[in-house]
Amino acid sequence: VRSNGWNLRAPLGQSHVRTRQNFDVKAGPFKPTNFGRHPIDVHQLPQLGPELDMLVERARAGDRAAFDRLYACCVGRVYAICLRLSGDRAEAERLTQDTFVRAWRGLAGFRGESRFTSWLHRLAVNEVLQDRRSTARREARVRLAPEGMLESAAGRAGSPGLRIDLERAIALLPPGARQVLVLFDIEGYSQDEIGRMLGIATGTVKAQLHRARRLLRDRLEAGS
Amino acid sequence: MTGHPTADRLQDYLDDLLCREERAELETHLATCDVCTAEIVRERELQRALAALPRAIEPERDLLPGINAAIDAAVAAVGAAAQTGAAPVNANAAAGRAANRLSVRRYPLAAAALALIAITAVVATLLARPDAASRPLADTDPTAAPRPGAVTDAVVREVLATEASYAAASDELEAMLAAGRTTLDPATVALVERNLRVVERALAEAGAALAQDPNNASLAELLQHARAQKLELLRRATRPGT
Repeated sequence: VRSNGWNLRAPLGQSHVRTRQNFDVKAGPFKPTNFGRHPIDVHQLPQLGPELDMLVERARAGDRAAFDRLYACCVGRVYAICLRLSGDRAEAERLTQDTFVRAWRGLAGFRGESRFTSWLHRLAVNEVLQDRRSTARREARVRLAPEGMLESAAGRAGSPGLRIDLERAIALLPPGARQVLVLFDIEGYSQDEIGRMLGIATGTVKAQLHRARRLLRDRLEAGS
Repeated sequence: MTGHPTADRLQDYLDDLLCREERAELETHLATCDVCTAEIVRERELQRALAALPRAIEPERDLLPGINAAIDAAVAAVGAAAQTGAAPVNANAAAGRAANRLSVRRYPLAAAALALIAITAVVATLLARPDAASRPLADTDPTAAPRPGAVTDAVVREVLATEASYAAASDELEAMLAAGRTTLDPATVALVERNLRVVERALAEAGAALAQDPNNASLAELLQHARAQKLELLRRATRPGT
């Protein structure tokens, strides 16, 4: 490996892709969201781990207050998944709501064999992918509304420039390519998993991924 | 290796999908090829940028009220099904419909609030007064309990004839509202969402109460009235110029 300032073997290509599946709210800046409806003491919010497990247990037993707190903990990740996969803010809000309703109904069957957050994020992915009835509308809207989406996606993140361009470029990808790229490069699912989720061959996943990256690079380099 | 590796091969290298021998071969090539090295560098820059995207994005509005209302509707549907002995298969559908309605949230009429809160108040009164709420169907004494307004519109009566036709009419009107949503300001949207939550709860409570007490004329009339109110509001909201 030549010495050019880049470590070609690590860590990005491997650790990023292979371990992001373990990413949860833990790794990101924690920001409670309840818009002041119920006063929640930030310092009492769970920082994951045992507290989260306890909330899950209470919610499973029917404790709605515990479920509200789970929402506050997890809505940002769920919304990000829905927003990037759908490319539309209104759709993402609806899909996020549907995901949490489904989570409430499914909690009784959640056996804790996987992490709650991984389970919830997978519910969100499934909610988007199974939302066939809005696919046509979504494809039409993406071309009209990426600006609005990007204001919400990047405006609050505090890092403009490339991130905004990147979010916009992702939103403008063809739906199939966008879904594969978001699921692999951002959410960290394996190509085999994505193939099963989308009902396509792993080779097709790879082709869509490569296409998405090429389109992204073309757009970013054309804009820079 | 003869010539440059394909773009797919470079991508597989980046994704760590090559076997040991393939990787070694490609790295040997990279050590002597500035073109492919530059390609790898650009791809890594993109991956780095993707990895740096925020994992969480907070929605711009609180979605919890809609979620809770949908869950309430599902709980009510399950309760009603359990009471009537019907299979509770509609619980999921009820929750989904409620969630959809709440996310549609497009009544551009402030008057909706008053009408819907009135419905809820009547439900609460009936539920709090079991003596009044348990009046049998044959009891026509109009003073025994709060009387919801009469349903006079023949078209509304027809629409309300069956649950299915009511749901279809409601869905159709909400779809019409959805199409005109962009003209609404956020404050109106917020108000409408609150109002819709009220009416959904009123409908769910009335439905559940009626399931427990199917012969209760007041509850039956109330449920019909609430449905009629909702259809009328949807109709007015979808009328041009509102």
